[in-house]
Amino acid sequence: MWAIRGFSIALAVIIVLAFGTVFYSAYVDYRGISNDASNPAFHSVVRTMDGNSETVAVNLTVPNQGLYALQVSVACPEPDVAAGVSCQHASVTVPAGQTRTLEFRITVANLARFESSLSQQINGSVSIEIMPFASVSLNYDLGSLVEATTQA
Amino acid sequence: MMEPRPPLRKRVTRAITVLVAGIFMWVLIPDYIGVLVSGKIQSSAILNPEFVFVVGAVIIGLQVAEALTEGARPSIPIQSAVSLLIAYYLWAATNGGSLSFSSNGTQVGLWFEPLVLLVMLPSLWTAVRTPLSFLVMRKTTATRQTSSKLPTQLPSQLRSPGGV
Repeated sequence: MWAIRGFSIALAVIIVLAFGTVFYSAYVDYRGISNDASNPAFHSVVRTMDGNSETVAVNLTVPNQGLYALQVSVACPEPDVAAGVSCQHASVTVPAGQTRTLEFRITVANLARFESSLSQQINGSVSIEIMPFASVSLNYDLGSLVEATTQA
Repeated sequence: MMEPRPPLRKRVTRAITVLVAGIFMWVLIPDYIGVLVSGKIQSSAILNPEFVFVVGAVIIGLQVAEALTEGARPSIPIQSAVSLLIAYYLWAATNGGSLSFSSNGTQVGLWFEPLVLLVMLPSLWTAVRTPLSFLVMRKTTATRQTSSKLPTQLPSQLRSPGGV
C-alpha cells in the first residue's frame, strides 16, 4: 500500500517539476530570442551578388537561458527550382545557459527568373524545439530577403 | 481503494455535484473553446461538437455512477473506465500533442506530445491504481484474518490424535 502511495506522490512531483521547468524555459527562451531579434547586433544579413545570381547569408545568434537544450533549425521545404533557388538546411543545438550562432544560406542562381516569377516567394520553415518536450515550427516567406537586394 | 460505504443521501448529493461540475468541465467549457478556436486550429477533436457531447456525456454518466456506487465493488471498474476515458479525451482534444494554426498568414505548428503524455499519466495511473489498491487491501485483510485465527486454531490441532 505504501509503495502505491509513494509512486503516486513521486508521479505528482515529477509532473509538477517537468511542467514548471518546461514553461519556465519556454518563457525565458522566448524573452531571450525576441530581445535578440530586435537587436541588430545579434543578427546579420550578408548579400553577395555574382552576375545573375545572389547568395544571402543570414547569421543568427541564438541564446538559451532556459533549463533544457534548445534546437533551432531553418530550412526551405519547397524551393523554387525553376529560379534556381536553393537553401542550405541549418540546424544548431544550444545547450542550456549557452549561446550559439546559426548560419543560413539562400542561393538564387537565376535572379531574373526569380524576379519574373509571380509570387517571388521562398517558403521557409523555422523550427524551435525545447528538447525533448515541445517544439514550435513557423512557415513564412523568406523571399523578402532576396527582394530587398533586387530592388536596391 | 474500498472505503466504508457512505450513506445514500451523501452519495446522491455527491452524484449531483459531480453531474453539475461535469457538465461544465466536459461539455460546456470544451464546446466553448471549440467555438473560439474553430477556423484557427486544425485537427482537434474539440472542434467536433459530436465528440464533445458524446464523450462528455459518457464521462459524466460514469462519474455519476461512480459517485452512486461509492464504497461498493462496482465503483472500482467504473473509476478505472472514467480514468481511461479522461486520458483518451485529453489525447483526442490535443490531437496527440500536435496542433497547427494560422496567425497573420504564418503557419504555426506546435508539437508537445511528451507534455500530453505527462498530463495523461495521472489518469492512466488512477486506472491501474484503483483495482491494484483493492487487490492489495483484500490480500492484506485476508492475511490479517488468517494470522489472527492461527493462535486459536493451534491448540486444537495440537490436541488432535495426529498431533503430539
